[in-house]
Amino acid sequence: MNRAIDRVLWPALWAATLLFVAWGMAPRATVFTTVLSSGRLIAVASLVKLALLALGAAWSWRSGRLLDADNPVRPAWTLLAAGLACNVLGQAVLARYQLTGQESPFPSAGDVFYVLAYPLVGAALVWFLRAYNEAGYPMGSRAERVTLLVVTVVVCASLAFLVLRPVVLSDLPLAQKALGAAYPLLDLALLVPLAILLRMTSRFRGGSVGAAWMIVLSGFVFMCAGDVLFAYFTALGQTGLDPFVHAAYILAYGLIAAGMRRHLALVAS
Amino acid sequence: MVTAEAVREIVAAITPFIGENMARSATRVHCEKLGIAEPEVTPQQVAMLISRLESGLRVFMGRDKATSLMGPLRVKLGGGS
Repeated sequence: MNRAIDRVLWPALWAATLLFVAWGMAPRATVFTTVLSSGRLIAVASLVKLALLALGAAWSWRSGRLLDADNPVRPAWTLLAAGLACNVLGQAVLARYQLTGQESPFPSAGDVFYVLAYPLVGAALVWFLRAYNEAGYPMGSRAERVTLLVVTVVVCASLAFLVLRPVVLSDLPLAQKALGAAYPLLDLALLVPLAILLRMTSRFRGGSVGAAWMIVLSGFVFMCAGDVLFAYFTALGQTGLDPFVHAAYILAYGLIAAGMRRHLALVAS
Repeated sequence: MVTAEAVREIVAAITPFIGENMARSATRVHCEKLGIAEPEVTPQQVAMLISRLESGLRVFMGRDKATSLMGPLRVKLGGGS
């Protein structure tokens, strides 16, 4: 079953990502001005994102349910599932516009769910960190972790300055500007526990636990990249770069779903 | 039983899940904590070592799967059933 899902999921993910990268690189190619028009591609992107997010949320939820009631990471899986479910709802709101050829409003009701997802995902990542740290595995010295934390905070703060500058200086309406700044800030905040969890789970490399986590966390890193690109391009008014944003989100959601599936396979007998 | 042999068997069993580096270092750390040293290890020490590693695996795969993974190892190394 797992192999069957992997056989479909991975090729479909790469094909969808490459399709949107190709659209971004050659938007005037015949295929993108005829069969795969902009409206159709946006509709495809919407459905793919919705499906991948729903799979990720369902598999995360299932992973938690299959663990024992006293397992310390069970609440983390539930929080992660809830965070992904919020993203499903956010994407569902946008899908209403994207499937009918209308331009998605920004901000929209979907942003309420997207913003709500951050504290849930952030809390889940911190919960995983704490539980894995207490599981008795040698995770390196405290000094090493503090150094990584400080370096990540400094890098994220520097990135925030670079990314937020064009957003803050743009002529966008106040609500768009505030939300456009909030997303990268929330993403950069999320990158802090992500970096520590990446470092921690890299110690499990070569095993199925390490592989599953590496895939999930890479997905979240691409999601942050997608949000930052979206804010940056919106502030600069460069809508022609939207295909790359779609590609980043599809890859992100696909990696998250694929990683969740690997975790589920670990728990399920 | 020879410590090195027991450690090799245990590391081989958990490597597919947590990777060789973590399998080796987690086993080494637990051996140190349990006072397991070369050249010989008692069945009680093997049982304790397997139990410690099993509880670490539970966080990833749940109690049932961790127990079923370590069960054959317990039988093989004489660390209880």
